[in-house]
Amino acid sequence: MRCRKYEKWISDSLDKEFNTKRSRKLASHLAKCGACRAYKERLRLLQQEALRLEIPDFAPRYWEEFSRRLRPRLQAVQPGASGVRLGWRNRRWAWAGAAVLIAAAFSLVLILRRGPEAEENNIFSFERCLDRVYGEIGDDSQLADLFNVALVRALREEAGADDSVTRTLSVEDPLFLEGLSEEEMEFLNREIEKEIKS
Amino acid sequence: MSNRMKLLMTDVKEEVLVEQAQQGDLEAYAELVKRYRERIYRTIYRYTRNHNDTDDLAQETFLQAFRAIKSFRKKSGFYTWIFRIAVNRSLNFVKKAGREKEKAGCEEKMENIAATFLHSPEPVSMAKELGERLNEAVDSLPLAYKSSFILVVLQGMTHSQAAQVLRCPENTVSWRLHKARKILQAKLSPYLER
Repeated sequence: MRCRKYEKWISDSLDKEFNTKRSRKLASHLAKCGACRAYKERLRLLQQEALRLEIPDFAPRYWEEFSRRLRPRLQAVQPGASGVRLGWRNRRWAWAGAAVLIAAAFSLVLILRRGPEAEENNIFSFERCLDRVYGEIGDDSQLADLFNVALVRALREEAGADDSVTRTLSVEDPLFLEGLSEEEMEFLNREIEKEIKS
Repeated sequence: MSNRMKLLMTDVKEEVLVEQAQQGDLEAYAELVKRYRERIYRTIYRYTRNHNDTDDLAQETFLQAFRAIKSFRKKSGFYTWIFRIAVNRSLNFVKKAGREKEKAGCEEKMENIAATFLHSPEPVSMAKELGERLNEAVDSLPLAYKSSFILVVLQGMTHSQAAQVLRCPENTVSWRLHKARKILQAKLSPYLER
């Protein structure tokens, strides 16, 4: 375990990335540890060989030719023409951003296309719903009566039989009979029979 | 351009040349190319190990840098910035060319050579072969280790400079170098025993 730490220090020492304190500690360890001394020697040889690795060495003419070939290509572009090229990660974000923008634009178009007609189709608006029903009924009085009967029934069910809504109906009202309780209906029947007899 | 002007250009500081190039001055940029073309070539060559590809990539590096020079904010040196472009281009090239697959083949080949050597040591051919084997071993390193090794050991950058080019912490470069050296010395141990 201790030698692993010194192996890393040996590597750093070859790059001269070292402070004096560590350098002293490493020297002291190397004096005692044969394995680390051998490791350091192998790395030194490796470094030495790496620096000897061949790279094509060109005459100045090649470099002049290199610049000469590059010049027309440079003339064809303007500095800053491409700005910074997006890296893979940035490109991914750009795609995500574009997708969000497209989705937002699509939603906006849908909302705008619905317009006032869409509001009429809004079944969750009670007023709109009634307006639409009355629109359908139009001048058809029979249909209007049927609707009113259904509406009053619904109101009675909701409010109870003795609800004041039903009591306010006048005799002229087509819904008058619908608004009466059973007792009232019996009373009315009796009165009508008396009237017929008389 | 007259010889006198050319001579004057060589005296201009890098920062001034960069500013002029950002304004679109081609002569200033040509001087920057002149200053860095050999070092850029050498770095790229370490990845490609092939002159034609290196020449192409070096040209592309300078072209891309000129296109993007207005985006250079001088947070690092121009040298670091253009090296980053060169290293990224080289890494993309290596990945695209499927060199990683070839490396797997190289590793196998190298192990066979090392095994052969262990049975019949020939001290005279050892030093000769070491260079070739080292090239192959460096090629077979994982790209992150390879980049650190190329920039620090072969290009002589400090850990800090390499960290700027590779956009990673200095300590990461230091660890990668340690790992790279461990791998290399393990692979080349038959050639390194003296």
